[in-house]
Amino acid sequence: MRSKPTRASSTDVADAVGLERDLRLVGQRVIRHDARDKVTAATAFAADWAMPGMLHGVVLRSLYPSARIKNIDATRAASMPGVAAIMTAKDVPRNTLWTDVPGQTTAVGSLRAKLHVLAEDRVRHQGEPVALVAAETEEQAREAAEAIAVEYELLPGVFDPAQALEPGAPRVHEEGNLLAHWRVCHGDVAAAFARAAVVIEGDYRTQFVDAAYLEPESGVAWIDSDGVITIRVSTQVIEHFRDVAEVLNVPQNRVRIIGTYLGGGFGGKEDVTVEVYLGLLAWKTGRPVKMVWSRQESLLARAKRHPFRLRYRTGALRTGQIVAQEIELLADAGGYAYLSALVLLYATVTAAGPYRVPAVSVDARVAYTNNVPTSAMRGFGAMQVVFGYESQMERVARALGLSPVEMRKINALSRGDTLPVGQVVDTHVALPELAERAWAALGELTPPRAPHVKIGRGLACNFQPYGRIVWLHDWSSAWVGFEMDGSLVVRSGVPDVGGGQASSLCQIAAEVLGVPLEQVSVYIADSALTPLAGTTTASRQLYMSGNAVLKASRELCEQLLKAAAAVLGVDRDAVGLADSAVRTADGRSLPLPELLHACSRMGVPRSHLGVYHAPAGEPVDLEKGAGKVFPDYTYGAHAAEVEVDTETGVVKVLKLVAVHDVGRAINPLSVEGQIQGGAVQGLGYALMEDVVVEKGINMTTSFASYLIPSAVDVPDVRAIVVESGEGLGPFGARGIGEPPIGPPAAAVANAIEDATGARLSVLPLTSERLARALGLM
Amino acid sequence: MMRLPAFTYLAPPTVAEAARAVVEHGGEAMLVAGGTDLYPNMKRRQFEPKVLIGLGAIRELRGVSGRAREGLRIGPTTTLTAVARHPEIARHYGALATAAGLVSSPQLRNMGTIGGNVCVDTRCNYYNQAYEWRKAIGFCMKKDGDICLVAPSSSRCWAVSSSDTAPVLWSLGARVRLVGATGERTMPVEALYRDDGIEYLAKRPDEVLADILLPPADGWTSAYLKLRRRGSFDFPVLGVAVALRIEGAVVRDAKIVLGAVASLPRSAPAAASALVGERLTPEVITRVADLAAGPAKPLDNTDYAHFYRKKMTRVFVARALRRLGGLDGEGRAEEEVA
Repeated sequence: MRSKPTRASSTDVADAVGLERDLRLVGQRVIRHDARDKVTAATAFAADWAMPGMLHGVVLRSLYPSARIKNIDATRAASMPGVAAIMTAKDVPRNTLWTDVPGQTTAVGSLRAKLHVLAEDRVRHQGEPVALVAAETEEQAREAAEAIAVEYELLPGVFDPAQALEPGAPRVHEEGNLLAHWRVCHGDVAAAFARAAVVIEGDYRTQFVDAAYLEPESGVAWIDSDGVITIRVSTQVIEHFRDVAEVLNVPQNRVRIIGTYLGGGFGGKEDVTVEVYLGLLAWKTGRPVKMVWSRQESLLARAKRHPFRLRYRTGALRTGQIVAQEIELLADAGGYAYLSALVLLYATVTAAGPYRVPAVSVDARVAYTNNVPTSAMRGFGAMQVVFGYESQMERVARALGLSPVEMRKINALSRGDTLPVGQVVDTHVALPELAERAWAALGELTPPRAPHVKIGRGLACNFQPYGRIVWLHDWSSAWVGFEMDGSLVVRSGVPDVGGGQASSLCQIAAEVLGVPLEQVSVYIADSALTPLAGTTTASRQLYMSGNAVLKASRELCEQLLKAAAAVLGVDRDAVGLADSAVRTADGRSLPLPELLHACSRMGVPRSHLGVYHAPAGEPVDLEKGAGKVFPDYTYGAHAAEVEVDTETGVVKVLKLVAVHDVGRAINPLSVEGQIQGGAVQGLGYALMEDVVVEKGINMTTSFASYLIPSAVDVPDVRAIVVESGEGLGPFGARGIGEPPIGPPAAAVANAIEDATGARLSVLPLTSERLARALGLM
Repeated sequence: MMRLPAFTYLAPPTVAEAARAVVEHGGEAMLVAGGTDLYPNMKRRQFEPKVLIGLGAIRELRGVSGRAREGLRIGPTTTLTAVARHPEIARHYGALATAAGLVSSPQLRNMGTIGGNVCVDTRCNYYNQAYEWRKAIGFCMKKDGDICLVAPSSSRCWAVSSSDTAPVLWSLGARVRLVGATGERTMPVEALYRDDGIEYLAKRPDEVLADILLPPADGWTSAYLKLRRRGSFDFPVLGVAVALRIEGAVVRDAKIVLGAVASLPRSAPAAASALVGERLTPEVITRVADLAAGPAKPLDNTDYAHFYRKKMTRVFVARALRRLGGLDGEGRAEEEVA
């Protein structure tokens, strides 16, 4: 089955072709409507909104990572000029949000994790929200917030997940510090190690990183003329209207979220951000309120990517075949649970990589600390483990004298294989081809520019689930309808985070309904006016809402063609939609507006609501390996060429090739953008990004100290798009939002070893660390 | 949290009036040129001036004049971009053009001035933070507090000189003219700096930096190498400025000055003396680089671990010497950025 042909397109491959040649728009390099709007500054982002009489809201945050709040005195602040409202925990109708953390091991049991809207008697991390202020101007609001006297009693804290799990460690929450524990036991691991010719042990560490989106968290809330609390906000999840309603203790249909086009999300806008605070202040004052978090508070207090400690023991036969993986994972949840248990689940399921391994054990834990909280971020736990398993693959290959590509070919999953959690792989896995293509595309080896410079190459592959866990019974809906003049409207509650989510829906609808793309208008992300589509997370939106639009469009097409056949007096099979007209097999045509008027007279609806339900399943016991966890996976391979300065340890990435089987590229421009953006973000993770937290204090709260790559720090990423047509999305598409961030760190680490013989196992791969590994100091 | 507080802005037309304005407003006033460092620092409340005296309207402070043969005069409010691109500077005082061109990013070099870079505030991981952050961890002596968070037993502040151009100007033998309310004085640029993270300038508040004077280029060649994590934006965490006068392959005169390893630029006179009368052989370069690293005493208060910065001093000095001696074909200075 590995021989199944996959076709590829890339910016510089002349024979770029789609899978179905008869498609008109799908697969075209379409310039997105939102791209033009953004570069011409036409897009009204969340912070661009203003309303008459609008107040400005700010959050007062905890100075300390672990403290008891003894008293809050806002008397002076309340009397300051311009102040309209001050709120603390006691003013919040329902201050505690509870979430059920699913699927724990019996040792932990099921857990109800809590999150306070505003801190009550204690704070658990630096930057935790303590009070809200709304005032006529932002300056007045900030001055008043600073005038609120909060009396803290410092408490001992715990700042390392391993220490948090030791007996007697300070408890971050009353229930104890172990937040989640997952286990996988697949095959006889001890027996497998006994027959291994080589056993490689590795101990890897990854760091906290920030989403660092261009657009910080922001929004405006007002009470509309119908009394509905309306919040226009930068969010990946418009369904948070329910959380706002819960906090305000109002019916869910009295809160409306309007999602804006986002200046980046990357998981950082998956949990609630400003919307709950905006809702509270608008509800309290009755006036419009704007809140824009500063970069500093975003870096200080917004949830980060989980740091992991990853211990791997890998056994392989002399042939290179991996026979055993024994894996221990420990992650830092910070002060609150957020999505930590699920992030850990993704890591657990994918920890052995996209390989056929007969015996696997995974023991994964995540613990509370008094560090900044961690939650969703692009890759969602399936990313940190790539650094572990791909470093191990490289080391096994070196020990056995195998090339990186051979090593992957020998071990790659293929259709019909079973993952360690018991899920059968039921779609094509193009991994060997992806690895080969990535490696080959590096081209000629760059000659070293000086005697002290060494060049090396590394490969790393990954697989990333797309779509939500099957037992969450995911669904999406979309409405597609024609106006009388033949123009088309798509409505779907999809937040567009910048990946071209809205534009791709237009392409799909226009493709099916035979209209030019310019004839389509799209309305997205309004919880009152667009059918709910679920979150723009988990690389799910094209898969889920693309399918919903496809379904709605096909049903609508069918509905209209039946009517057309009746009007024209021919069989249904003798008509089709193309170029904004009904075309018959015998060469006649009926312009769309005429058909639509006929539909109107006949009482045939000109719209359709499509609902797509993902394949669902019951929760599985990971430990027993009972079955399906995710709908499908996206596979990728990155190859890096690096230059190492052996006198300084400075690493420069000269080339990065990123190859992914995206199933089908609806818009290759958007796909390449996702791949390049993800790969660059992955290079930042590899080389420099590091939220430094010392005893709970975040040392990197500005872009002068939290370093992300600039244009001169990364190479032009060569994106190669492979289309197997095997995805579960529309036209065979797979999700591509998250996957490209996974491989770069391991690819660069492997390239550094290739260049110098030094193996780095701690991220980021800084020059100090390499200098030490090279014996320079 | 990051809003610019209110202040009064004055725009005197002459240096003398600027100096008088400082005297008139006393401790409440500060001078500002490009503002690329001062304004963010004001947002973080490292500085809380009520009055800013802008130098931008003073025509005599801007522009480059003279010829390399007689020496150049650089007006302190000349932008870093203009300094980096000035043909006479690039040709005869190469290290200065390099250093000016490596400050921050293109946008900030278009606003930031060389005078501002010469006088730029010292930096520290515990100081370059927002007000609330500093309040949480406990204020340090450089602003609002009375201890040093880097070296808690220390009675002084260890904030780091973070100018790219200062070590280069020192290595080139530049002088500065200061004009105060009661008179003026001209002195070597190195006399402008004090070994203290707080009182890092030996300049009275009312003194305005009026001229930066470069001596005749006179056969000197120079190089500047900068260590930072990225290829743009970042302040130096090590700067190496080397100026040599070479006659017939023999070094006749040498200056080596290190930036960002102390509260002021540090010269390495022993290393420089060891070069005089020598040819730039690999052995000489190794010996001199070892000597040059001596004065580098970085602490753990910037990006990169201090021992790495110390170690890199040796490497960067050797590279600068190799380049000036034509011993390698190692690319341009920008590529040395770590």
